[in-house]
Amino acid sequence: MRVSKLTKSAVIAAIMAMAAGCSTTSTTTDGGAAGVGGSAQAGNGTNSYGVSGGAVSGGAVVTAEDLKQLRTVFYFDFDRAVVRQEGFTDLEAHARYLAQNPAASVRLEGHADERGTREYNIALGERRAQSVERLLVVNGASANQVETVSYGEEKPAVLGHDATSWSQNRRVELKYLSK
Amino acid sequence: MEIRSYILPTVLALGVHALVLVLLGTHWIDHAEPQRMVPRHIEAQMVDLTALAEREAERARVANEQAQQAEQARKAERRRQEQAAAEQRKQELAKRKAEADAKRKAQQEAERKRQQEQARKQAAEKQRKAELAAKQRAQAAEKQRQADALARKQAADAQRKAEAAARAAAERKRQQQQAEAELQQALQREQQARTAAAQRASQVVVGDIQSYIQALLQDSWRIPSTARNGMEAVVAIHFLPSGEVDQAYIDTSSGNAAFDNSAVRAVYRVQRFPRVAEIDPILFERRLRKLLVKFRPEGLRW
Amino acid sequence: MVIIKRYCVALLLMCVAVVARAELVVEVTQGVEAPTAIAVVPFGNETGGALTDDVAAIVQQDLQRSGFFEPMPRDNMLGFPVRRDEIFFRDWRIAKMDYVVIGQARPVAGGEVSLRFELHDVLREQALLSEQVTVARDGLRDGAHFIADRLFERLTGLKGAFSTKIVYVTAEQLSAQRQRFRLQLADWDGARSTTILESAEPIMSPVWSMDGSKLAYVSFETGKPAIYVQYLATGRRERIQSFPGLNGAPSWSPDGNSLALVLSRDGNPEIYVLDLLTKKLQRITRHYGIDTEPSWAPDGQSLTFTSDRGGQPQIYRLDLASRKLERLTFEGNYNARGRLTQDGRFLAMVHRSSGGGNGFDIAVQDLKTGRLDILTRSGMVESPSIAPNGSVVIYATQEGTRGVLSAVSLDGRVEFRMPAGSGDVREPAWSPYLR
Repeated sequence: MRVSKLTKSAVIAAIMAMAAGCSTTSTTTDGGAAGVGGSAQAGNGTNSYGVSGGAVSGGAVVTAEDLKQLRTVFYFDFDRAVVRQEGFTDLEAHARYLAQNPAASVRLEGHADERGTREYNIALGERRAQSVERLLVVNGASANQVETVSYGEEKPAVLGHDATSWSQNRRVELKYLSK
Repeated sequence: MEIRSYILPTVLALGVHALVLVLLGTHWIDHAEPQRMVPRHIEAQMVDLTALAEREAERARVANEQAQQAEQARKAERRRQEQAAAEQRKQELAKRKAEADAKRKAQQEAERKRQQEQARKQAAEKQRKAELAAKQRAQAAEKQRQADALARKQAADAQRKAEAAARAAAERKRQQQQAEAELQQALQREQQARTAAAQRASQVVVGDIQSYIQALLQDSWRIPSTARNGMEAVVAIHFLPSGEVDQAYIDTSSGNAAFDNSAVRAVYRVQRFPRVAEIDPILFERRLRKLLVKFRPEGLRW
Repeated sequence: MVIIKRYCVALLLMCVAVVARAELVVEVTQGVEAPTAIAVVPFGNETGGALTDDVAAIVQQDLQRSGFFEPMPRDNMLGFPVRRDEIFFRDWRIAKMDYVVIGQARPVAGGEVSLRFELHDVLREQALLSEQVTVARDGLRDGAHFIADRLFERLTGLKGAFSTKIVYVTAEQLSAQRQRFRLQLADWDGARSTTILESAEPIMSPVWSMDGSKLAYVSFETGKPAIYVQYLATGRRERIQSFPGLNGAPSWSPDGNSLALVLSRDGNPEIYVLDLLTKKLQRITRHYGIDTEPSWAPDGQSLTFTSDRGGQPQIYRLDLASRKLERLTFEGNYNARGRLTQDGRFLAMVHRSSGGGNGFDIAVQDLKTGRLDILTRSGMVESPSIAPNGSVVIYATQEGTRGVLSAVSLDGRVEFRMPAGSGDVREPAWSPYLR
């Protein structure tokens, strides 16, 4: 049952990823790399990060050096656990790196903004991390290279109590445990 | 089938209704009794009830009436003692007539007025008969006038005429007493009517007092947080004539101690209901010495 | 059935006829929805030394915070009677007091203190309570809470919950990367708080066992969430078997033998029940949406939980025997973390009104009538926890940018802020009756 669900979402994700691949590419910095601490300057919302995957897209080999160009923080809408299109190319590149380096592994940390209840937000963060995990696996990463954890609203990237802060806190952070 | 299913219940319902009516009938009789009994209460009570009805402005008039009635009684006594003095009797009767007239005007009750008129006329006639014992022709003329006025009165007149012819002056004395009794009856009827009015008025007074007590209690009742819509506690209050609460206790519990307590406290918090002290003592005794108050919150959140 | 109904109508008519002839009855349907006026007079002190705590002040604050009482400010008192014969009832009556509490601290052999206290009915000039309690010299707070419990029970008929405790979590940002989380235990009024667990990683969802002897909570101390049980008397901790993914939202069954919890080991946050004796795990929900925040009904027959299976978070109730599922909340577009009162009648929750913007508030739903009332207006609240006697809901909210604890009486009459500890305060959990 789980497999069939996974297959379904994989197909859908693949189609969407292809669509994303055809969209405009641009270069930009990856604000999420520093995790919690560095996210303040990353936080100008969606316009500060376009898709940086141009450099590594197209099935080429992804090097560890390339990873630095990739976005590692992926944002979500309120009460939603669907990865936004803008993150697809970078996730695809991460997945390829993982596929090419079986010894590498990542940890996906799901987060939510402070609105709503803590346990519900933990569940929401979990589902966000799972969404990202699915995209990685669909794109070639092995399931045992990926682990997920949800912190819910316990570890906000930004401490404000406004819409901008919230939008930056609804996220999944991708962290390499080994490269 | 649908209709048939109604037959049995309908019959039973009708039966129950009949039973209810029978039960109610006894209640109504029971209820009507005190009304008829009221005249037996001394005049003072009735006057007081009227006073209640008509309040302060009427009080003077009532006192006046009371005095007149007392005088009446006194004069009736004296009259019985001085039967021989026909002239005096005439005056007395005339006075009585005037009084009855005045009262009739005050009350303006058609039925009573007619009867009183009749009684007064009878009395006047008898007085004239006594006065003009020898003048049979005049008596006949009077009878004729009476016949003109009322057929029923004529019959009574004829009877009285026959009695008068058959008997002597001593008989006339008895007739006078009868007339007096009739006058008394008229007066009684009048009082009865007045009592009924007063009783209606006392209902108004009681209603006023009810809403007065209700208003004071609503101000003093602190509804506890544990109260819920639908809770109901009945508190019995015993008043002192001063309007003070003698005691208050739970008559029917709500099942919630805090709620019951709040209701009793509401009564004790008021402590004294000044207007209860203004109530007529007899009305107080009969209706207000013990009062039941139902505390039943409405519009609470829960 | 129909026939019975018709009989009832006939009977009703009969009743109406009888009532029509009933005694003179005044009906009072409106009153003042105000708390009871009470004066807690400062206690006399014959111990020959200064007392560390003002017993009467603590009693007064307890009563006030319950929402049931409105104590008289001490400044307004005309006198401070200590003995019954010193009470001038007329004065208190004029001051519109219903009750007066007096008391006295006296020394007892062994260095303890005896607190004598009396409750007097001003209106009837009667003594309703006259008792004493002996406490250690540093246990005056316990004595004061005990007195408040006795007064509360005597006057409301409800058991007092002033001797209960709360636990809550604090979080401090030590630096950009370092945080310190603490699990704190305190009196119900926030006084006398002590730390029972400290961690650099999040601590979440503390919850009391029904006997008050132990807690369950979630700790991320290993980098992954795991559920722990900690015994309060000894401080001993046990880690419950953890699974990949989520391990969260523990809730004790009333008999203390099971924990309801949330696991995502089957791919999705679902509710499970773990038998603590046999370690047997039973899956309770089966839905692709989020199911979380299980809470055992006080009778142990059902679980309430939050689920977004309807498209947005709402509270559901699952009957454990029949597996019948019932949606409880319909008003608003976000209802979560439901907690039932001990009588099972009221459900406190985090609520967001439809079209009401982003505000989250505490709401209480009467499950009997369906009526929902919003008790707070701060717009950013969470984690409601109900006092064991159902009188007060404690919750977390924000003051400026800092999390603090607040409480509101279940009828919404009284709201008060708990004394703030250090850091961001959150997730209060009210203990059951202790002792």
